[in-house]
Amino acid sequence: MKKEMLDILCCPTCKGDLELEIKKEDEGEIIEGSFTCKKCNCTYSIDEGIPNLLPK
Amino acid sequence: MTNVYTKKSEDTWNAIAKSFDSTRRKPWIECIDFINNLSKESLVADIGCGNGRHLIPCAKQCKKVFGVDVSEELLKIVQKKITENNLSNVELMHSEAVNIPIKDNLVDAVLYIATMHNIPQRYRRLKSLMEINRILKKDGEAIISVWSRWQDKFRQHFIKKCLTNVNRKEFGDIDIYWRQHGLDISRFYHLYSKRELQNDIKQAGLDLIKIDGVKYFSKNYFDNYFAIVKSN
Repeated sequence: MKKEMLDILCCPTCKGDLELEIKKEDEGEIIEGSFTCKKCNCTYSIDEGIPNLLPK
Repeated sequence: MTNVYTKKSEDTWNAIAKSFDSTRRKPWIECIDFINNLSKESLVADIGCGNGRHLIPCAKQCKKVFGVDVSEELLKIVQKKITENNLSNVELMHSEAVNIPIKDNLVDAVLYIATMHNIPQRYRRLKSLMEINRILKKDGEAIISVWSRWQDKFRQHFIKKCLTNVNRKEFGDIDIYWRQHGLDISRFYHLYSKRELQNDIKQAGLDLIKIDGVKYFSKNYFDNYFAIVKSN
C-alpha cells in the first residue's frame, strides 16, 4: 500500500479521516502498520501491504 | 466485532478461494465492454474484486484501480496477479461492500460484479448500493451484475418456494453449494428478479441507465442481469 492512500481511504463505519502509523516500509510501499480513525478512534491494521478495513 | 454475516462470508470465500480462482479465469464480456469505454484517466473501484478477473484488465486500461474484497485469500491471489502483470496502479483493501472504506465523490467508475447477490439481508444490499452512490463522483457510472432468480437451474426451487411458506428467509435467498476439488461448502445467495434489482437501484438513489438479461448457462431464461447505473 502506498502512503497516498491516506487521501483515498476513510473509516469504513463512520467515514472519518484516518491517521497512519508505519511500522515497516519498503521502497515507498507500506508493508506493516496501522490506521486510527480521527473521529471514532477505531484502529485498523495493515498486514503484508493490505489494509484490513473491515468494520470493527 | 465484525458483523456475523461478514465473518461467515469471509470464511466461505477463504475456504474456496483457490478452487474458485481455477474456475473463474475468463472476464465477462459485458464488463470488458464497460471497462473499454472508460477514460484512461479514470479512477475505478472494483467492489468484490474476487480473484481479479475484471480488476486486472481494468488496471491495464485505467489510471488507478482500488480492489475491495472480504476474503483475504482471494486478495492474496489478486496480489500475485498484480505482480505477474507488473502493474503499479492497483491498491487492494480487505473490506466489504456494505461499509466501503473509500471517501465520498472519489471514483469515476465502479465495478460491482457478482457480489451483491452474496450479501444476506435486503437492507445491507441496499446499503451497499448507497455506498456505491456515495463513493462515485457526480455522473460517475457503475456496472452491477447479479444472478437471476428465475433462471432454468433454480426456477423449480423458487416456484415451489412461492407455493409454500418461506418463513424467516427473504424470498430469493438460497444456499448454493461449492462442490469442486473435493470441497462441499455452502454459499449464501440472494437471487434477483429484474423488478427487484430495478427497485433497489432506484431506492439507493442511483439512476438506472440500462438493464439487460443475459444467458450464459440457461437455455430459456436469463441467468444474469447486468445493470449500468449513474450516480447523482
